[in-house]
Amino acid sequence: MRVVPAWPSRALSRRQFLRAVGCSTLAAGFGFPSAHALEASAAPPLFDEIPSSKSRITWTHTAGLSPQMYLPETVGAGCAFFDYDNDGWMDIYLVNSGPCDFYRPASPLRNALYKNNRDGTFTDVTLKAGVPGNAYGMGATVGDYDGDGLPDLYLTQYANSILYHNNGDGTFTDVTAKAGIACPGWATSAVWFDYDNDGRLDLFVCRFADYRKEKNVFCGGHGPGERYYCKPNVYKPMPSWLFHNNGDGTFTDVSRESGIAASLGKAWGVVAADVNNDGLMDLFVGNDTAPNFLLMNQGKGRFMDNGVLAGVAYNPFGAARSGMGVDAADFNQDGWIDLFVANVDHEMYSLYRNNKDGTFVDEAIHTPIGSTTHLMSGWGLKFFDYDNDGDIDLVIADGHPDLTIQAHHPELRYLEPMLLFCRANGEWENVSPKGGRAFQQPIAGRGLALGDYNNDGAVDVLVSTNNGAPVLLRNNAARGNHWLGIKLVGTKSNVDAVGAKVTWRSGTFQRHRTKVGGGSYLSSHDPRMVLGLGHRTTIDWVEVEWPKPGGTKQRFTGMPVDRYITLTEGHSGWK
Amino acid sequence: MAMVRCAMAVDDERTAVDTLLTMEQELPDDPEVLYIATHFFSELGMRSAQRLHQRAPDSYQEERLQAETLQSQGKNEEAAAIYRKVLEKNPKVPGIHYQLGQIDLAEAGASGSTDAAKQEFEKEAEIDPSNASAEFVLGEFDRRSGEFTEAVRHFTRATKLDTGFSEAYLALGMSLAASGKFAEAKAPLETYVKMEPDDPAGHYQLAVAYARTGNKGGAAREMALRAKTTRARGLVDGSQGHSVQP
Repeated sequence: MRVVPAWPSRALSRRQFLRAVGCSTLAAGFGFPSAHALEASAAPPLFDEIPSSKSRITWTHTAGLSPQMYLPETVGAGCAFFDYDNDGWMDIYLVNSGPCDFYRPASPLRNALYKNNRDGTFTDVTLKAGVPGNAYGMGATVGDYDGDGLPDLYLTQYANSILYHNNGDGTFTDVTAKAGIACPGWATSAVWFDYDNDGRLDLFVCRFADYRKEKNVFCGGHGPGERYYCKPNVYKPMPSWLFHNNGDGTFTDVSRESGIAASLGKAWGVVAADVNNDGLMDLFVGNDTAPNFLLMNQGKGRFMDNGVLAGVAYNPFGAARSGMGVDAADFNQDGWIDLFVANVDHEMYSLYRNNKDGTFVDEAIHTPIGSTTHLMSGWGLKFFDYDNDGDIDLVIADGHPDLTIQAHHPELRYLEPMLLFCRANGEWENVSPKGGRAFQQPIAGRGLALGDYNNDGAVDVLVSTNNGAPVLLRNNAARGNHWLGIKLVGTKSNVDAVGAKVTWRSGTFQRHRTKVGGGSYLSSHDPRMVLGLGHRTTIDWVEVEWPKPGGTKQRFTGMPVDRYITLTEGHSGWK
Repeated sequence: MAMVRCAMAVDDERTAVDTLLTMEQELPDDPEVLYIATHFFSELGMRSAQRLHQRAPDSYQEERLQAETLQSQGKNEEAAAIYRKVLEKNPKVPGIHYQLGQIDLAEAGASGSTDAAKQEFEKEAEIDPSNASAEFVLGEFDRRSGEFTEAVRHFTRATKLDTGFSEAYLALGMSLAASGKFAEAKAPLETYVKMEPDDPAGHYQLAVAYARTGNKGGAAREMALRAKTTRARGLVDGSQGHSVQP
């Protein structure tokens, strides 16, 4: 039967249609494969997920989810690999929520410090160690701020943070008041780094939005199921903090005089690296619904945000994205540090290649990273060589920030699988299907920490999930390839050697790595560096360029392979 | 108003149209005039549609109108079937592949493949090389895939076919900038910001182009305009929620 035409109202004017063409809905459909759609490989997985029955890690994160949908509920929390007792085995720290103005847990909550038993299992020593946290926990940042050889722990929280000093006997002391780095407000990621090249680790702490219980905004409708977690654009940005290490256990808040406080953001992730090769450590900060910062160290204690002109602040349309976890590494081995930031759905994650002139270009669109992440939301992430072939790869923990998202956007999911990208022959490849169960099973991924917990030279991955159990992934991928693990100890330089550049050579094979500070989201990593050799069984030499104030280069020969060693600044040989 | 009603009542459409156009010219901001004009022009459109149906029921134009009606009602599958029927008999009719491309894009949704849509727009561009919109869409496919050289080719053509096509200038400028050709990007971006001074995107892209070509003053000015136009749009210098903004 013929339809008698009424005068058709044009569904879309040309302008409307063309705007729609430019919108994310269209862009998402450009034949982009969804990570969900990729089928798992039949070969043994690159990573094995270790169940809690084997690891004995029984702690879980409690988010305190509520009908009021307070914003902090879906964003936590972080995790860390660090060797708290200096026995050479990476222990695990997991951050929980806790009491605050909007949340009173029905039963006490605490963070968890798990001691590595060296047999694949861990033992909860939190209470004995004295590191339970005392508020709504966000992240863990590890650094030896007093240079005594023992890693200390800075715990960011809403709405005050804690500095735990490592006493060296398996216990920690809360020295926040003495140190003067409580950071009242919503602290998120933090990083220990030496910004003034005086040999001591200073502290940069990200701050999220201007937020308190009374300021919680109602978002959505008032009918059943119509409320949702607010997008952070409804909250005002805030300045982050920079603390100068005075060398006596105290810190001075230099946020204002350094210029850091002039940049208002909603900061989730931070990484410290020298992006312009001037010997000064810079900071790349991922901001949510605010421009990302590229805080360039000007020397003399001053920073200037160059994010906009560097091309890392906004999307191509000049709009801020939802920057989350970040990292930095010279992935193309051209001698210049590149950057990465995860965003949320319809934004694509950004892979910023350094143009060597103070600017960056986002190359994600040219790689599977762009197409894979278009509808995804990323949090913890890290560049690392998962298979020890010498090339830098990338792992990302994903999950949407809004628990209710699928009800409002059926094409999106709250739970998302992890992603693994392999770099080989100058190209990126999405190898998530080979990753294993954790890369197929969707989770509410948040913090991500790297660490070799079984000391086999294959760097493992720890992921914290929102309101759930952590995921511990043992790396199988590097088996068969050779490596050398190094722990760097600064003497003139900062003790953790943050900023050191390591080069290694075997025949015609040569690679370099920079030890950046921080990176990921709310998380902290094994301080050792694993140098991949591929099939090569010998190393000709390893050269360490120590960060300033040391600044010297040392070349080491006669190095072993397939084990961990310690290199100390100014000392010849290795231990 | 009475003249218009009378003219419509006696089917004197010319008088009705002339009167409406005169009223719009003399009272361009009068909401009552605009309201009446909307109704009567719609009524005129309805009458033309009915005449087409009565006088040329087997024409492809009648079928096309049917399909457009269905498409406007969201009945994409039925509309597409009729469009394809039109093409079977009239394979060179301009505009049909474009409509099918629109439907394919709508059906692809957030995560479907857009290969079929792209093919439709390519066919449209072959049949009607003067279709600037088709060139633009093809350019967008390339730009979003990172194929900037091809994108520049399409957008350049779109701006030549329709010099008033503002979005094409922005897209051209962005594609040139993404290719590192900041000097070449300046001209189309300057054109865009003149045409669309309230769009922060144009000011941002132009600021970057100026900065990368050594024009610091121009860059600062355009960044200030970016911030001003962003605030004016109530965007609070942030993305509006989860979706990227066009």
